[in-house]
Amino acid sequence: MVSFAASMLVLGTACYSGVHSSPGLGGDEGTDSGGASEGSSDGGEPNPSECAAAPQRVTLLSNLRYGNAVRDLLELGTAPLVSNGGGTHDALLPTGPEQVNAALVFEYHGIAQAAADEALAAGLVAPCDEGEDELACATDFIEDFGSRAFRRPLTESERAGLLDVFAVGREQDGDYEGGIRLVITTTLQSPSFLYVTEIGEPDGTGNVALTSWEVASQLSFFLLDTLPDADLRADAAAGRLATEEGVAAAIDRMLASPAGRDGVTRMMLRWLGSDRVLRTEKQAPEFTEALRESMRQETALLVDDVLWSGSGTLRELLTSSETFVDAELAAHYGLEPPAEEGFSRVTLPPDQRLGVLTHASLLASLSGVDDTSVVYRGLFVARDLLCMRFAPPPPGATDMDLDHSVGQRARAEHRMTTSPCSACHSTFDPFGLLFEGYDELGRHRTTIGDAPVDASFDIEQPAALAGPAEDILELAPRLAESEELTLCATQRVASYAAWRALDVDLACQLEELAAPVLATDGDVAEIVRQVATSPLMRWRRVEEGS
Amino acid sequence: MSYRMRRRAFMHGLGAVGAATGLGWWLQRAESWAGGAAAPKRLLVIQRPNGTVSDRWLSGTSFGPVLAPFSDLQEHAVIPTGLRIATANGGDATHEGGMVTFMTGSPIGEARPPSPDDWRNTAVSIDQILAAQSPVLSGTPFASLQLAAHNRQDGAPEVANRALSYSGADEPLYPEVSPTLTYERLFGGLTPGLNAEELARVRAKNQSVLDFIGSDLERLEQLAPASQRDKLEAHANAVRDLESSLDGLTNCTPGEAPSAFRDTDYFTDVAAVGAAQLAILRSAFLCDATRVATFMWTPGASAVQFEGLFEGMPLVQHHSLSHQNLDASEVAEMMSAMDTWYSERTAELLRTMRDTPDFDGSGSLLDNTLVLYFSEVAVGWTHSFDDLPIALFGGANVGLQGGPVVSYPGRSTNDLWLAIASAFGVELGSLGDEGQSTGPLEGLFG
Repeated sequence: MVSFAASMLVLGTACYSGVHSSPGLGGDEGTDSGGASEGSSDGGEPNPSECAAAPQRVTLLSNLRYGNAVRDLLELGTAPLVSNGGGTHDALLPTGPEQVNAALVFEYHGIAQAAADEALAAGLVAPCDEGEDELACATDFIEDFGSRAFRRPLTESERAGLLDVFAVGREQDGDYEGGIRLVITTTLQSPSFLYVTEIGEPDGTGNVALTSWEVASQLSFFLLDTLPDADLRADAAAGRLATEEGVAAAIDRMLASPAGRDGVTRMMLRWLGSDRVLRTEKQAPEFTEALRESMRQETALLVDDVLWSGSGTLRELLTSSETFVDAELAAHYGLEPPAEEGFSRVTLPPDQRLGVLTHASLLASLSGVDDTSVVYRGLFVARDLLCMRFAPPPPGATDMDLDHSVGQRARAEHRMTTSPCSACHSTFDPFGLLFEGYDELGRHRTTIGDAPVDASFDIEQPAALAGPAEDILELAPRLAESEELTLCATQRVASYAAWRALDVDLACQLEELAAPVLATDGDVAEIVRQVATSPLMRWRRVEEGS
Repeated sequence: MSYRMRRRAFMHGLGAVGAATGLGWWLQRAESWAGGAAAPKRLLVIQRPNGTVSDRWLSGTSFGPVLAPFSDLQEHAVIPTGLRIATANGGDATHEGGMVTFMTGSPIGEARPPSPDDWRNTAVSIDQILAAQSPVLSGTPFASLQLAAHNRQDGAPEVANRALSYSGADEPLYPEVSPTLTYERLFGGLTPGLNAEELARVRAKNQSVLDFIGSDLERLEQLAPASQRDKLEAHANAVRDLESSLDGLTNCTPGEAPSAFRDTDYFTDVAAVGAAQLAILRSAFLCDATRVATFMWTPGASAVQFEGLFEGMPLVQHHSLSHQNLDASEVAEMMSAMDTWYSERTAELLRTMRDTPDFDGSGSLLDNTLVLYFSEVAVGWTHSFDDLPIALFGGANVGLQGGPVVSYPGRSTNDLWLAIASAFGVELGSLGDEGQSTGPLEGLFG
């Protein structure tokens, strides 16, 4: 069996200088600090993991999740858009720290006011009939709205504080709605709304269980990109999320729901990065916005179909002989236009296309503006699908001494045989070369200039993929069958679930996940389930000296 | 001169800015200046991406075509040559490396996985140090501003290329790219035309909101582990800025509110956003809303596309072009045309600042401002940090002297920061790791 450590390390160390080999992966960290804790404050089970958990922290909601949470709290038609802040969830890996700055806090303020106005205008929140006691109405609203926004029961002083806010708004605006408006405005700017806590109720050092409420937030933001729904809140209130069984029941319920399934589909699309095609630019005028949108939709439709109407496996994603095209994309692929308006299922010519790796959304976004890119395409396979890690090019590294008119293959051969480039490029350029049968717009081609396409390569590593391949059509089944692919998908899903980089904090826990995810046979929903029910989502490490 | 006379002189000087309501902190400060306090000073750092073509930046000791747009500003300019980012040389020679080291003066930290070069910064940036410590730069309603005209880069969505200012290690202060939001934050706090009673009502509500946020933040600070305190402290600082925003700068009349902009990777749209941001920045200085600002035209490794800068120039993406051989004349021609394009727009701001009297009548805005204009790498295709293209602009009141070209062969950009800090009354002694600074550059400020 391939271990996570092996899949992450083997190729990284072959690469230039090795200065950026993965920190500590597969090493002996894990049991020194922490270890299994005695129990959890929710009366849950002890941590079954031998690993040190990731450290406690508080995390600012990403812009996407903030907008969704505001929308769902107030039943708004659309989620407000936030333009500031660093965090996004448009890739499976955390792109950086989400941190507040003055511009973002100001934007929160404007959004909170606008959202409160919109909600009150719709008349859906905090109704108080004539003759009802306004204070009683406000108290009820604060209890419900506040605890949903903060994703936990309010404290006594929070209740009192929000009632004070209500009183000020009531007095200054002269009506009940004014008080409610100010409560909403305040709540949506409060740190308890803006930050997801991973703190638990520590009573010492070592590992600590997150509270059931915190676990509910972990699960909900992970899968649904928004705050917990009524079912999860009920689970949390009953303390059911303190055990693996409780979490398993919750995640099964979520995976059976349309929203949960959409969440898994979204996650897979972020892994593939197919939406990037919308922001891809080309010199070719035929690469229109409409065509790019068709390309994006093709991948979204196929992933959804494979996951929820097909086998649900990574294997099928990479080797499906069917796809979905509209008239525009059919023309682009050289296929007969579908009989009906919109997208239709078609069977692909087996000598031209196979699975998502041959989708134009990927082929075009992993190319340059006027040429393909062996490097981008090769790195996608090596880094995103196989989780290999590479050091950056050394200073001054360039193949610019080479006349670019020699073509992609000659340039790749130069890089693969010339030090210091060869250390890394000999690992990932071979994968990129296998895609040379598709131009920078993702069209299949048999010639480049006047010469026939040569997309073949004798792949050497990793061992599971080794052997000669004519093109990506020949490699895709090998890749689809490999344990490396399943392990890498799990790494990415786990990193996304925990919203932490894949570093020492997760390495040990990933090792523990390897056996159960390989048993899933590449079933995507099962991988998600394994990650969600693992200690990763429920345990944290208390800092020394805090 | 009697107090009364001085006050009148001050009010007269204000006429150039706009009507003053004469309330609050600002009048107190302004009166202290009218009463003989020193003229305001400011620091503005402007970045543009992807390096330059060195022999078109300077031609010997004369301005080359890239600097030519600043020709009529030569008396306000000092081009310090030979400076290198001492902290960033080595295997970390990348756009990202330049971005996180130039203003922090400190070595890069660990990269954020899986990117091999999305370096974390390891220290607070110098603008934040000066905003907090300099007696002449601190104390304004907004401690500092970070603005940009564009925020996308070539390749992965890395953090390092998108920020210049940092409130601490691994704490980027992302710039605001929306002129509308920038404007509202600075000037749109209170609806115009409220009477005193309405104003009081709005303020009472705002105070109530801020009180709750404050106590909630305190609660979280107590619960969170020590490692999280810095980010919550940054939140507290941002909330203090929000208080300033909500109070509104009622003392001055800013320019027109900006219109909506297209957000694309095309250079003409970047120009429009940039011009709007810089106009707001100028207003912010005139209103003394802040005295410290960083402005990024576009991120490091910028992917902005240009075309037609000279006859026959095709649509070209800046960063990918910068990786082509600059020894080829057609590549150098396009690269320097893009760099010149940024020069032209930056020079336009500087000329406006030169021609705008400061609010206290002590000189022009440019006289009272030190502007540092740079790129995160020296040469795009090698990512070299040697002889970084830096230009300084400023006037008599910030003491910049010795131009237009001064050579500091082999010196570190940290020594430049030490000199700048000293000019603003902060003596840092050293910056970065041992050996990465040797002392303030001599002769820059008098």
